[in-house]
Amino acid sequence: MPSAICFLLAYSFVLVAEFSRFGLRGEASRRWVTRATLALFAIAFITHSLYLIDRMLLSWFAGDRAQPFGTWQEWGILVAWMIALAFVVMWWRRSDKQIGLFVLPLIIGLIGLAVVFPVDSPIALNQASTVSFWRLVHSIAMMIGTMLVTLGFAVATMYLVHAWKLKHRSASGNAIRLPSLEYLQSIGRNCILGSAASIGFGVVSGAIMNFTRDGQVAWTDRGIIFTGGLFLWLCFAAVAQWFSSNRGRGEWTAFMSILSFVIVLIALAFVVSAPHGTDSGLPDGRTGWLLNGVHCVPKSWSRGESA
Amino acid sequence: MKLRMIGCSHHGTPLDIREKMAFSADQYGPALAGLRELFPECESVLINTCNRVEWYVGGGDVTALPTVDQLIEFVAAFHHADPKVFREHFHFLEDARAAEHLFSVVSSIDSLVVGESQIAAQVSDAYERSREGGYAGISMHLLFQHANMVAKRVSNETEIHRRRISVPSVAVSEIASEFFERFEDKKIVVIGSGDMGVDTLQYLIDAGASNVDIINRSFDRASAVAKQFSIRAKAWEFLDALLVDADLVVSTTGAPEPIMTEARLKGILAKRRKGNLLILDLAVPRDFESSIARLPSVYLYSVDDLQSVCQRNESMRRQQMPKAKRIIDEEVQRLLADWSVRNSGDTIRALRDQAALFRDTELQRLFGKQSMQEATPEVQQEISQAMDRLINKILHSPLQSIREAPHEEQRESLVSAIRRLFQIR
Repeated sequence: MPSAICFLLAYSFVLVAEFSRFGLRGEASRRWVTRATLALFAIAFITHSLYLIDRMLLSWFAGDRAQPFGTWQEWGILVAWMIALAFVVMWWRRSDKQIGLFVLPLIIGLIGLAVVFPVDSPIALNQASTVSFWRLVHSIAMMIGTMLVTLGFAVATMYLVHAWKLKHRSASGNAIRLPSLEYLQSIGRNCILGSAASIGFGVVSGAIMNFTRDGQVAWTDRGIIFTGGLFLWLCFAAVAQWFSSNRGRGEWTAFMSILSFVIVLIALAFVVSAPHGTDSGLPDGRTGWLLNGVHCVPKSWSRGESA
Repeated sequence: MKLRMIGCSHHGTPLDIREKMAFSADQYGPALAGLRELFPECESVLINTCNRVEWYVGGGDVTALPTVDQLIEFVAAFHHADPKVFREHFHFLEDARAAEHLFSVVSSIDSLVVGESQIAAQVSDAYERSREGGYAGISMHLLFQHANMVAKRVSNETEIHRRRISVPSVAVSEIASEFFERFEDKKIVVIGSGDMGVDTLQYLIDAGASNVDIINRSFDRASAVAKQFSIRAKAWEFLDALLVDADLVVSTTGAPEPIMTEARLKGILAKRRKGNLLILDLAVPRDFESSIARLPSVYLYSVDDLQSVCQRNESMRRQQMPKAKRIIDEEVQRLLADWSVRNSGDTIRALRDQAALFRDTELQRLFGKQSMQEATPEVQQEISQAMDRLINKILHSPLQSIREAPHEEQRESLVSAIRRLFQIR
């Protein structure tokens, strides 16, 4: 089965193909490169999907209760796949636009991080099915929220670049080709609203999961604090962008999306580094962290190296 | 088949001369009929557009066609003009060169605006008019069928028609579409009702715009345009109020000073509750102060900005010309080959007809003799078949040589020899 390196490389080739469209002058050559890019992307996306299916099947056939996509590595690769899926939808309608220049680096970045910083999750937690259900809801909601914020960031960057280009009156020609400002603003707005709703749902489901498992919610947990903070920010961003877009400032929506992405990055860093979700720790007394309800430890720990 | 063409175009013939040579719609029929009267075997097509007047005459036999001088004299006489002036400005071409010229015309690489799309239809209309009047036969059919094919190939295989090159079309298809996904729900204000404004309005309505106001210092003029496009006309004093709600503004007044200053627009922007404002200032001199471009959420494009896009697009179209010329060369060769095959086909048919005529005459003479009166029908049929076989055997070798000639020149010389030897006209 394919390794993450396979589709990481394939996506990188797609990005190179996207960049090569700058040097082309004729419509015919542009069409050919678009087709080649599409073919390369199809290879990357199919390999990516096969990898995820393989991981899921391995987990199920293992017979234990370990969840698929329970590690940071798999979680990052799954979020990257969801962004790639969104890219397919956008590209389907706008294959002549260079959307990939903004979306592909994020996909490559996520997969690259997962490959460079792998984390094992060897521990399966023995918990009641109610807890497992809320854990699943929590993890899916947080994953969709993160994906939407990341996609919103790409769209916001596109909006700002396109607005700058139009302000400086270079609407057509060999400059970068992007969708209309109206389209980008609409997608950006939906990403903010969708991410606020999804993260909100994730926070509530996480609280229910904690309450079901422990009979209380650890409000002072650093992970919960940052996730809650992220949710509040996204609510503010959703309301603010609604007012700003009604007053005609598409740039505000873009800035809100970029800021949301930065805050998500900070929140994720804190959530991942905090003992968020940790309950009993490892049998030898060391604590890892719980991601999507699965106890995780860095590879170096499990190999017996110094922590 | 022979082809001859005389004509003049924007390449080197001044407009006042072209106007003298042009044929109005009601002159087409009489002009074609007049030429037919003088040269009954000659097929003719007259192409008359605002940039060119061209006569194409053709037929199977060169002697049936008018010479260049005869054509010029005919056209001059038709217009009651001095043939000297016409001779000075008309250019003339024959056979492959004439076909190549027609193909260049129909594929729009000979047009004033390279890549314009109307010329193919104009050429097709000219041929149809001749065909319906009975002035175009097989020669012209073959020529214009190929011309139609060339126009399609150039359109499909090159990008010569792809990019817009007029200011109104670029304004809508390349600028406004970078801002807006659709025009149905956009509030559009057109300031001024000049030609440029009306042209842009037409493109906007074609793109789906329906919520459009037109405003002009002369309300009557605005009302007339509004009625033409089924949009709303507003009095001049409502300009600021209209801009408060507008998404797109197209300005084309003939005002000597800007009608909108930065300070005035700032006041309007303060009242706005809408998204970006795109202003297409197509007026010369400008209607909107250039400093307005610096205001946030306002995107101002002047006619110079659009003109530069037009020029870039036109240069991209010109880059496609070598590709179009290659297609034209290919199709000229194909046409010549078709002509040649058709020429030899006509000769072969004429030769067979002549042989059949000789056979029938001889058989009639033979069966008319007393000694053959008692021959049974079977015997007569046997004799007739023997004659057929004899003719086929005699003609087989020369006809095969024509059909299998490896080169066009060789085939033509064989055809010519056979026509001369057997005295086929």
